[in-house]
Amino acid sequence: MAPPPAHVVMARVVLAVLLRETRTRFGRYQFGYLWAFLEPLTHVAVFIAVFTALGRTSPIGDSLALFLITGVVPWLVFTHTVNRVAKAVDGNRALLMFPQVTRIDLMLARIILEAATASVVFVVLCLLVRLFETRFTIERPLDVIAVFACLIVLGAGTGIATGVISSVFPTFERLFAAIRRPLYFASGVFFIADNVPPEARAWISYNPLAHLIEWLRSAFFVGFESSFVDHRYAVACSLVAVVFGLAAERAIRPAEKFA
Amino acid sequence: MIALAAVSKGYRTRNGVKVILRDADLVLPRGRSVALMGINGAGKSTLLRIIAGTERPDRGRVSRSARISWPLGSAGGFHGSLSGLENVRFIARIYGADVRRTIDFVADFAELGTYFDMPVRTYSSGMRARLAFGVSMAIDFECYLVDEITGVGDASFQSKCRAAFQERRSRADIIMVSHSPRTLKSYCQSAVLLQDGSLSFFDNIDDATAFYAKGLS
Repeated sequence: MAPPPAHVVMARVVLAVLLRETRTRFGRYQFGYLWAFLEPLTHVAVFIAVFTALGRTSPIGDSLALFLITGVVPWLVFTHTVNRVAKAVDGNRALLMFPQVTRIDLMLARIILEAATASVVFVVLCLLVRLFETRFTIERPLDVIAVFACLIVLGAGTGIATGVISSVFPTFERLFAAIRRPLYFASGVFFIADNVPPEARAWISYNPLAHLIEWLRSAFFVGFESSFVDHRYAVACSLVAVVFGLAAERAIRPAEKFA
Repeated sequence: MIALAAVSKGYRTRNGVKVILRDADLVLPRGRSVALMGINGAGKSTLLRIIAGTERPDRGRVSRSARISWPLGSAGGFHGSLSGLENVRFIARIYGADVRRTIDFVADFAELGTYFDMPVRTYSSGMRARLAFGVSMAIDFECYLVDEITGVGDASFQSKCRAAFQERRSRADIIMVSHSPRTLKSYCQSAVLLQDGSLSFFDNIDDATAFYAKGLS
């Protein structure tokens, strides 16, 4: 009996891992899938409280919630994808016992799950605002999709690279996680680039996430066009990350698969 | 048929490179069950994983023209936080087997009772082996790779395993690692001796055990 073609085997494996990951990621907690929504909502709630206490309003549009959602969700999509993909192999090492299961399958399943979760979360949160706060229209919906695609690609590439590097230098993952955390405050989650001093803006302009968030807001809000965003830089960073990640994975692959 | 051509494999250890295979060639024909023999630490389990495709050789080529199982042992393959049933579902999916039918078969064969719905991390090593054995029997392989698990369970489970293999003998072979010569002889007609990085095939397992005994003394 001839074995099935390679792409069929890969599709089977990725689907099986995906189904199992859905269960292990959301099945353990009491609120299950609801947690995916609660996390961005807590971030948004904290910033609304801070903004209100300081007497500040949203820099764009009428809805502070919507402004924060378009910052918090992309940040979480990126950081979750990096985290989950980096730990994909460690969390499923036992599965490598099966010859047809590869490291890339394990990572790809998590990337798909994060992309699907991100889309659902973003759509639902936007709908909540529309239902309970303000009616709004999205200026360039295709750009919004492009930004999320970039976020996933950037997160996936960074995650694969982190996973591969930390399989050789285990401390790397912790170090990188520590570096990532302050990035939250330099990505424009709760501000726009026009409102920060030029010196700070110069530093922030190296951060691809800041560009992606500004791009998302430019595409999302009617009447807001960021002068800061560099689309080409954002896309280039995402592609470089994924090429670097896959190349690094390929470079260490000849080492034992099951170890 | 399974063929190894000029396969080399080594591990880096603290005391330099430990060689498992050095330019080894091997052809295993269909229709024969084979025992992998060698002293402790010679690399029998590694060889089994290379045959399976779980581990890549450093150099050389492995070709397989049969549907080969994963290396069945009590060690890996299961996700500890998922139940036996969920693990079976996963394995059925990655082999493209019918999920429902596979679950029913394993539930009946592995005799895990209520443990079937409990996380695999609560299983004893014998129960894990029974689960692995059950799933592999549910999926029709042409070659079963067995690493030290036929000795598990009570006498009745062992005879059940033997009967299951007996029933498949016409269409499936076994490649087996075991420390018990009696177990090896009851399943296998031929043998491969792994010694100092090279492989020698013995058509009759008795010749291999004789050779092996002589080499040791």
